[in-house]
Amino acid sequence: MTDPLLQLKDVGVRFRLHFERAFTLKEVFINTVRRKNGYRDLWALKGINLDIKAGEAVGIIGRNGSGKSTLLKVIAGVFEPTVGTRTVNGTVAALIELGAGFNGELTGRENVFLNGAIMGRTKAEMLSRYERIVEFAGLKDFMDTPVKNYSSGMYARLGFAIATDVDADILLIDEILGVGDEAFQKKSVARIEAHLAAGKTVVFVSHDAGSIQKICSRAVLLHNGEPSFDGNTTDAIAEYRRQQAAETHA
Amino acid sequence: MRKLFEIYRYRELLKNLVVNELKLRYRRSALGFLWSMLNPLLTMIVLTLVFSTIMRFNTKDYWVLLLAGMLPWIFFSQAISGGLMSIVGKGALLKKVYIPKTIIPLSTVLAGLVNFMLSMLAMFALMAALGRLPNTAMLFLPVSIGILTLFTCGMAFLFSCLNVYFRDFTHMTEVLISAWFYASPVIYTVEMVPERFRPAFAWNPMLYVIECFRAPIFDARLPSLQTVSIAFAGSLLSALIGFVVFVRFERGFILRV
Repeated sequence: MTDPLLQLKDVGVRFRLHFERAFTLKEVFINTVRRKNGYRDLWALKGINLDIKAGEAVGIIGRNGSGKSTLLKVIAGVFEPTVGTRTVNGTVAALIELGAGFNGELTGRENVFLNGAIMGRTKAEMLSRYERIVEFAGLKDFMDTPVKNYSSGMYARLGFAIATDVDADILLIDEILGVGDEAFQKKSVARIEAHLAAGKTVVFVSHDAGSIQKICSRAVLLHNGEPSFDGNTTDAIAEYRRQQAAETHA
Repeated sequence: MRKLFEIYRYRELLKNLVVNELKLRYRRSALGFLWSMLNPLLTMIVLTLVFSTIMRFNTKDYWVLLLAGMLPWIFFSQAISGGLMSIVGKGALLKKVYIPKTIIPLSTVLAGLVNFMLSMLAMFALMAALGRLPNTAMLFLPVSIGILTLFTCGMAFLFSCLNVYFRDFTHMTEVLISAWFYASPVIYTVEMVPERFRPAFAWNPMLYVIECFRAPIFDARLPSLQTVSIAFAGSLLSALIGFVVFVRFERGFILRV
């Protein structure tokens, strides 16, 4: 049990920002001939060391562009680290953006099964969860409508309902609690707490200190792609506020 | 090898993507899934009419010869042009959730395969209606279908990957496919090609693949062992190259779609 569920070792992610992106053969040819290779390297994440154990609720805070979402995508496996290693001993359900795995042309019902399959659930397993998901999302009358006609709130509710129902070992949430009305937000928090009570793990990204404090016992503060604090949530938020204040005065 | 195992682990998602692709193609049409039979049937009738009245070849039952080459070709070319756009088209999905990228072109090919099998059924129905009854050599067709699918998969992997790096392939492939079409014995037979050009034609793997269909369907005999071995070797090579290139370059997809 002391084995970390998720371990990132010296992880760095580099993005290459091209001044003139070569997407065609002609451009590659011209750029090669001119010996021009216009790019600048941006390390979105640097030196990330993170051990997360089963049952932990970890918040990730930081300002816009500090690398929060990139970190979450590395954990989810969307980005492979440029350097360092990522080890995950369990299943991951990611709620990274609104309606991440949705196909707009498909109905709500079909998308439930599609998303289940993305998270590795069989049709039979999803059938037994289906009623509960629809109930939680409160979209009973809209399950046969293509999701392209959904409002953003409906999108978020359905996405949240699916991701939190598939019993993944690690649940990744990015800013999603801001959508939906107050009643739904309360339901969502209760559901995340139930998830944690069942010994599962939650990694939650936000720039809103309040919602991090509500859910997480531990928080990681990112600053320009580097971890500048890892520990107790209250201390992390204090540090975050101090950092912000320092930057406003500078 | 690990990648192949991963495809198996995500088979539920693969099935889901194939079914969705087929469903969406015919959604909101009154006849629905029937179109996947009706469409090739109508195309075949048009082709048959044109080639038995306007452009006549001195071959008895030329239309059977034509269809036996045309249907595999349509599957092949549609899978390539579909596979070409598959990774680029699914970019939004790839950026948000982790799924093995290999299953995306694979699902396009498999959806095409389902359509191809249905169009084969339509062809057999048409043949039976016009007095060409099934023969025992046709029992070889599952092997032919296997070879064709393997070949198509390899090409779809290769093209979907190339298109991510160079969008030129979106336009280039169209021309390439139509050139390849005329270089392959689909509307003609190898025997119609002038003797001195034949060595050049012999380099086209599709020639052997099509022969694996044409021999049983048109000539009611098994294709020669040589033809089958070359077709199989070509398919294996195509699949191997396609897969290796794809796996080698897939890490970069996410930054380019």
